[in-house]
Amino acid sequence: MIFFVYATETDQTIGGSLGLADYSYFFVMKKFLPALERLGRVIIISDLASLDAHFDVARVRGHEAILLSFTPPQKTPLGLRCPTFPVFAWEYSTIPNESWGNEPRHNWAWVLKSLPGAITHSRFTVGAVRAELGAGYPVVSLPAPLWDEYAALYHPRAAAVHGADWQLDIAKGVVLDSHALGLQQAETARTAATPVFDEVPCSVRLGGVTYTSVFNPNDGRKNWLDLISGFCFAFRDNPNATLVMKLAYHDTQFACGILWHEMKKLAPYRCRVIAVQGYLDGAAYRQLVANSTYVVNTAHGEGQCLPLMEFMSAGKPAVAPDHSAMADYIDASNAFVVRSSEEWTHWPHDPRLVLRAFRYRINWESLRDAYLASWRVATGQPAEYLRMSRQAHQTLRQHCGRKAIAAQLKQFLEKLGYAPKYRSALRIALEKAVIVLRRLRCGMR
Amino acid sequence: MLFLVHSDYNASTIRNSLGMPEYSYYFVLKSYVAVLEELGRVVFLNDPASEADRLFDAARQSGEECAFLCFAPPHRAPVNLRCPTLCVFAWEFSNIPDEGWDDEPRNDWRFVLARHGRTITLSSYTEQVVRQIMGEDFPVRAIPVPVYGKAASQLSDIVPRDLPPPHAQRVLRLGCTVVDSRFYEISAETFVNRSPAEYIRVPNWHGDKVELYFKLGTEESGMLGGFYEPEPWGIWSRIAAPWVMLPFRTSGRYRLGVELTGYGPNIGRTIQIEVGGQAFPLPLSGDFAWNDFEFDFTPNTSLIQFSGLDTAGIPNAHDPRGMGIGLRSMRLERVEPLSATPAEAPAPASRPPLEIPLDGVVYTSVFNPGDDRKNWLDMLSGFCFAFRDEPRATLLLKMTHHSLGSFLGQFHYMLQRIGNVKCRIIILHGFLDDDSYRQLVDASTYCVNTARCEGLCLPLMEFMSLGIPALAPRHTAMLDYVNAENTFVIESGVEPGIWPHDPRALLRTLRYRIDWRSLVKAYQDSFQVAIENPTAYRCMSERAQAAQFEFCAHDTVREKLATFFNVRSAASAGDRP
Repeated sequence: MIFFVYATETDQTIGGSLGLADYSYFFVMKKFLPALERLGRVIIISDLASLDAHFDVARVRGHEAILLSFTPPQKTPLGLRCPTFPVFAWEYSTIPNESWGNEPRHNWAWVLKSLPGAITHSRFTVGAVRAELGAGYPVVSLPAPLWDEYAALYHPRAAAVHGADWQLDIAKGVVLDSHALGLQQAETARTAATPVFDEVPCSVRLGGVTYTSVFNPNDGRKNWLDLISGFCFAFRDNPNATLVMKLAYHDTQFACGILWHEMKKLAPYRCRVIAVQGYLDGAAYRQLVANSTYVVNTAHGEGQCLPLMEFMSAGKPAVAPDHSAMADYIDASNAFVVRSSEEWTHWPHDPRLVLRAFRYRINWESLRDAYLASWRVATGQPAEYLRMSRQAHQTLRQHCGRKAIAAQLKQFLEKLGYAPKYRSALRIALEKAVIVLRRLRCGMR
Repeated sequence: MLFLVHSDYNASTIRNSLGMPEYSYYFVLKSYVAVLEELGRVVFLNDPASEADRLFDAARQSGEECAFLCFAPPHRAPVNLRCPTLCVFAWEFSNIPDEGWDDEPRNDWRFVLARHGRTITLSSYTEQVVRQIMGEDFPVRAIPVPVYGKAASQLSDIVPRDLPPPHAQRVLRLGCTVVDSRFYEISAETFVNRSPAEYIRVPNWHGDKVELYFKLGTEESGMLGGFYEPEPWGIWSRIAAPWVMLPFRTSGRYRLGVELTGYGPNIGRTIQIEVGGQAFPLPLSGDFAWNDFEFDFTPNTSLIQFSGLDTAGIPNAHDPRGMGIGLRSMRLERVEPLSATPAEAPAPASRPPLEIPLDGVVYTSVFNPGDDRKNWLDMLSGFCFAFRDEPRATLLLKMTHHSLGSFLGQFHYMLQRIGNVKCRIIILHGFLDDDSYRQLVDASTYCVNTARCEGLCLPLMEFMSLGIPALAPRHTAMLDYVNAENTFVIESGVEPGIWPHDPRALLRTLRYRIDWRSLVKAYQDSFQVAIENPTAYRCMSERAQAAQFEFCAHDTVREKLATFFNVRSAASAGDRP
C-alpha cells in the first residue's frame, strides 16, 4: 500500500511559521510517518498537481494508494482521483455544518461527505463528526504516534525531583526568570524594568519540583493566564516550586512582552516562574522533559496536545483537565484532574464569530488545588508519584504507541476495503536505503 | 444619640450618577437612615470635613453621644476628625487592601480601620475578611440594609407568592427606553433593528454641529448594529448591512460626514449609505477618508444604514474576522437655512408610557452593565442557550447606568453572535419610579444574579423579600441569604481578581468564576418548576421571603445597630413590660 502524505507546510517553510495557523499539522504529519511506514510506502507530496499522475502509476503497478492530507477539511484537496482522507485536529463539540464567505468548504459536513472518510485525533472529535454525518461515517481517532520517541525517557524508579540542579541550554532565545528579575519581593517587583528580549545563546539552571508547559502564547485557547496565576497563588511563598513555560511562537518580542506583563502583574511571589522563548534542539527538549516533575495544561480545548502526550509518555504525571481530546488519556490515575465545564463559543476560524459550539471553562479553584495536591505528592509521597508516573507512561502507550496506532489504522482501512499489510523493519530500512542511493546517484549526475 | 451620615452622592445627584463608582452607597444610606432615626437624631452632611467636628463638639457640650457614619469604602473616608468616625461599606473580595499606593495611606485599609477603631460591613463574608486582617477582636459587625422593611414583624406574617399562570398576560407600563429582541431580525449574516422610534428614548437635539467617535469607551460606539467590538481607534463592521443609531433624535437637513476605510475585498468597492429612504453611493478606499452627504432627518429616522459590503474577509488572514468597513468618526452639521421648522418631538420623560405585554416565565435582573463584576453576558448567553427553542421564556434586564451606549453595543454584538432564538430579551433603560419598579417585581417569575462577587446586592434582596425566588451563585454576600431552598444555585469557584479601585491592576485577591453549564441548568430547572410545579414554586417563594426576613427585616437591623452603638432601641424598650 502507498500513503501519499500532504501538509501545507514543508521542512523548508516551517521555520518561520511557528505558532501560525496550521503549523502544528506539519509536526503531526512528521510524527505519523514511522507508523505509516509499518503499513506501506510513504511518499511526501509537496505539489498536489502531480498527485493523480502518481496515483495512476501506482494503480497500474497494482498498488493500493490513498492520500492522507494533514489539513483541516476546508483546506483538504477535493476532486482528486486518489482517495483522500483529511487528518485533522479539532477541539470543539460540533464541527462546522454551514458555510460562510461564499466558500462551501467551510461547511465541514459537506466536505467530509464528499470524501471516503476522515482521521482525527480524539474520540471527542469522532463524536462531533458522527453527530453531524451519522454513526456510520468512516472516521477514526488516531492520535499522533509519539509514545515510542519519548518512552525511553521513562524510568520506573525516577524520583519526583531531580537530585541535583540541572542546566537547560537554549541555542538561541530569551529566558525570563522571576528570581533573576526581582519579582520575589514587593519592593524590587515594583521597580523591575522590562528586560531586553534579545535572542542569544543562553541557559538557565533549574531544580526543585518543576512544572512544565509548552504552548503558543498567542493562542487564546491555551488559557495560560490561568496556568500562571494558579501557580503563583498556590505557591506564592514557596521558593522551591518552579514553573517552566516553553513558548512556541515566531515573534519573540510579542511572546516575551505578554509573558513579562503577566509575570509582573502577579508579583511578588517567591515561587519561580520561567518563560523560555526560542529554539530548543532535540536534546535540550528531551532534557526538559526528563527533568520535569509534572506537565501542565489549562486549555479550553485540545485537538490532542502533543506536548502533554510527549511528557506523559516519558512518565510525567499531569496537572490537566479531562475534557475534549484529553478525555482519552487524562484520568485520576495519571493526573491531578482540573475541573472544567462547557461554555458557548464560536468556531475559531469563523469570521462571523457566531456561537455554535462549546469549549471548556476551567475551574480555577480546582487548578490551584491540583497544584497544591501535586506538590504534596511530589514532596511527600514518592510511591504515589511513581505509581502516577507509571500510569502516565502506560496509558500513553495504549493511546499513542506506534504499534497501537498502526493496528488501528490497519483496521480502519480494512473496513473500507483496503488490504494494508504489516511490513518488517528490515524491509522499511532497505526501502529507505534504496531511496538514499537513488538521490545520491541523481546528485552525482 | 446623634448620627451624622454622609455618602458621596445625594438625592439630587443620583439620577445622573447611576452606574458611577460607589453610586449604590446612596441607596444604602437612604435605607439605613430610616432605622437610625429610631435610635437617635440623624443629620446629613454634605461636607464632613467642615461640618462633622462642629456638630460633634456641640453634641458633646449638651452631653449627647455622637458618631459619624461615612457610607463609603475606607480609602474615601476621613481619618483626621475629632468626631468618632466609622465606615459603613460593602466589599466583595477575599481580602481587603493591605498595602498603599499613590502615596495615599488610606489605600491601605488597615490604616483607616485602625484609626476609626470599628466598622460596619454589609455582609458576614466581609466581616470575616476584615477579621482575618484586623484580628478576631476587631469591632466589626455585619449589618445589612433593612430591605425587608416593616411589612412583617414575625415570620408567620409572610404571605408566599403564588406563581402567575405561565400564560397569564402581564402588561408593563413604563416611561423608559425599551429594547425588545422581538424587534430584531437576526441571522448569521444579517442584523436588522425595527424598534419603533418611541421605544428608544434618546434626547432631542437641534444643535448645529456634533461629532461622534466610535472608538472603545465612547457612548456612540455602543449605538451600532452589525459591527464587531470597538477598538482603540474605532470599529470594524461585521455584516453586509451594518448601521449606526444616532444617540439623539433630530429633524432638519444635515450634512453628514463619515470617516471610514474599506477592508479586504471592499477596497475599491462602492457601497450605499441611506437615511430614511434617501440613498447615496459611497466609494471605499483602503485609507481612512471623509465622505460627505446631505440628508433630511426626521424624529423617526435615527438609523444611518450602510449596505452592499462584502463580508468574506481575507482568506487565510491572521485575523479571521470578515470585516467590511472600519468606522472612525462621523460629524453632523446643520445645512443653512433650515428647510422647514423642525417637528418638535416631546422630551423623553414626557413621552407617553409604553405598554409592554409579557407572558410565560419572566427572569428579571437589575444591575449596572458598566460593572464587569456583574458578568451579565454570561446571564444573557446562558439564557439564550437554555431557551433557544422556548418562546415562553423572557429575560427582563433593568440597566442602572446613565448611558445607553454602555450596554447596547455589547447587547447587539452578543445578539448577532447568538443568532435567532425563540426566547425573548427585553432591556429597560432610564429612571423607574417606585411604582414602575414594583411592576417589574410583580411581572417577574424569578430574579437572576450571575455576578463574580457581591458586596450585598440590593435588587436581589428586594425581589426575594417580595417573594421572588432566585437563580444565583452562593458566594460572598449572597452566602447570607441564598440557599438551595429559595434559589436555583449556580456553581462557582474562586479565581484571581484585582481590587477594583487599584490603578495598578495587580492580581491581589479572589473573586468567583461562574460555571456556565450550571447556569444553563439553573435556567432549565427553574423553568420546569415554573411550568409544572406551582407548589414547589410557592414553597421557594416563601423560603425567599423568610431568608430575607431573617437577614434584613427592619427590626433585626435596628437591634443590631442598637447593640453596635450601645443605645437603647426606642421600639424594643417600648415592647418590654
